[in-house]
Amino acid sequence: MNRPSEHNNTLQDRRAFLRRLACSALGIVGAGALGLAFWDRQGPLPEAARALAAPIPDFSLPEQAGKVALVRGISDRIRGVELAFQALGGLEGFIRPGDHVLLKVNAAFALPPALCATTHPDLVTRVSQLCLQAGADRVWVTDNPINDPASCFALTGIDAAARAAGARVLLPTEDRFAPYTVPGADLIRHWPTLTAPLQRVNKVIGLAPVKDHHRSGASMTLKNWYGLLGGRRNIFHQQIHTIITELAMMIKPTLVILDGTMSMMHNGPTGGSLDDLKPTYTLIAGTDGVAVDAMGAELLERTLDHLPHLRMAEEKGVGTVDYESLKPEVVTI
Amino acid sequence: MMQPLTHPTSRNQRQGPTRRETLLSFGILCVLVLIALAMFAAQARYDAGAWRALSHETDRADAPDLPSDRVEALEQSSRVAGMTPMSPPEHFGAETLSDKIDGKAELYLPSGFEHLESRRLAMADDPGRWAERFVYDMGGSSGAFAVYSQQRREGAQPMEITPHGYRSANGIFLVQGPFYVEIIGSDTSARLMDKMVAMAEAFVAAHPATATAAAEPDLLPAADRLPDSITLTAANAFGFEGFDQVYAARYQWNGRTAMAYLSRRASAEEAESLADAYIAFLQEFGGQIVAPPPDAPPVRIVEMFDLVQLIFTHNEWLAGVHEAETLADGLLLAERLHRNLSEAAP
Repeated sequence: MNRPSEHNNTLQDRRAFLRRLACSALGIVGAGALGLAFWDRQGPLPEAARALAAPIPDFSLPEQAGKVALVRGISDRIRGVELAFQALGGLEGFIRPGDHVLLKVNAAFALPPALCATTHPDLVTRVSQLCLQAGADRVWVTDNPINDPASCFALTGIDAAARAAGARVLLPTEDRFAPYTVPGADLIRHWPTLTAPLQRVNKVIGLAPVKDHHRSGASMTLKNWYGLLGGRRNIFHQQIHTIITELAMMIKPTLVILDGTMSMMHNGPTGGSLDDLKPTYTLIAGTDGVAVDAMGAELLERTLDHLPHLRMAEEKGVGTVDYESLKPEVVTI
Repeated sequence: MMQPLTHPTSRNQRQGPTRRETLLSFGILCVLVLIALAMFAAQARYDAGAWRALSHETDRADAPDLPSDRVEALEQSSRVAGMTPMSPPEHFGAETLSDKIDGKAELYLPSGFEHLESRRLAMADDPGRWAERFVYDMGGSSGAFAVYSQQRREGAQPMEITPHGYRSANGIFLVQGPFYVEIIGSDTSARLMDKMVAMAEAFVAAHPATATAAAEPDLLPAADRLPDSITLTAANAFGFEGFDQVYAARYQWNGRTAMAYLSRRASAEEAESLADAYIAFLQEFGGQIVAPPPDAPPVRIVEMFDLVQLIFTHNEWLAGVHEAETLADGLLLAERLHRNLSEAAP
């Protein structure tokens, strides 16, 4: 016969065993439940089979349609963009308190800002500051560069410029792309597109330099939207004017700003030498990207015949190449 | 009398974990919490510079099937006193060239492009100043000259280290054998330019090339030729698809301009056939055939948009004058070019 202490020990052993069993079971069930919660039942799908991104919102403001401002005789980008906004009636007409603003810059190449192959950091800083002063809650900066994104944002000075102004760079990480189809388009169909940054904002401003481009003739505000495409987008170089037209159809920005204080006249889009640049002392801002680029073409000494995408975009109803018809506000310093 | 049997484990369970075990467990949990906090902080504070090492740039760090002596020469020539690597070298082939230079790839690909290696070097004592070296392997000296000549900056300062090389305020551009090399500086400081010159010299020293000058540039008339205006177009010269390997130079006199060109074909028959196709191409776009004057060299003349095109062949050479402003100008330049070709290959 067992003694009482022996009996107690046995009971305690059983209880401890049961407690541990219960804990282990709970652990297993918990881990299983966690796994179930994270379980992607479909798994990764081919690009074409993935769900399309939600439609890109229309960021334009009907009351500001057809506004264009041209600042001539300016070499200081900061002063230039301030004057352009004044001529447009003030940035407050475009950016309202609480807005979330996306600046789509050209950060295509990991090159120094002096080469003017990318959006100048001064412009990024000042536009970010002015948006925040106008009451914007957040300002984001993004692009899907040609070269390595992190190097591009660092070496162009855009990342530092954005931080200095209180804005933040959104890198084009894979999860920020989704297949997208532009209604009526032939090329942008189920194409990976940088849509996530566009879905988190209610205002979009394009910031582009004036550049020669070996394929398209020029790279200005419309070509700047090319940086929203992902995947092997270089295949579109064979139909460069069509793809630029479709990009113009895809996104209706709140405002575009074309920096022609210094224009890349030759060897674009990368340039590489300061000799490729020419001071053209002009900054253009407006809500009609076609009209803004038609004005910018003159800085590059190109005609509309050199840039077929401008007329193609006009035919699609995106804007007008007849910028005079918009009666641009001209500021001459 | 037998002692009751008690299992040592049972005793431990009764007593619970020791203080030492509890402290150890608590310590491990603290470390895990700290790691989680550090990860959260790192995620919240994005730094583009810190991301660079993790970027896909490093994925291309391995040279794709380059001979070991080539890799060694590239490495050796990038070791310049006072310069330190900023990032690993990047390599691009024909399929990926546009990942580096976007639309400008279309200039390189028809000219025989095979491979691009690029790397950035920063000044050791001033890391904010840096230069990027682009080494394009164009498969041969004519391809290298083609892309060099198509992008030559006017008024740049010639460099003596190679027959074809110049420097601008912030860059060095040269041809060495099959390589077209660009060294682009982050600014225009004299100290950085000195280092860039050293980089160019190191490259030339590590990649010796036999001077094999093409004959074509010497056949283009020297009189009235604009300095540094000789170009080689590898494909689609003057917008005509079949026109490749065309040397051309610009001329100016009396305030008017014209361009002379020549292209060596495989045979006289091919030259003649290409000339016919080119004339048909011009006619397709509105060109009108004009009869040459009686004393003119054996040329065919097409007038188009108030400009004059003159085309002729000589043995395996296809040559001509592009966009002369007057017929007299075109005939004068064509006569000079024809004479050079006749003397070189009677």
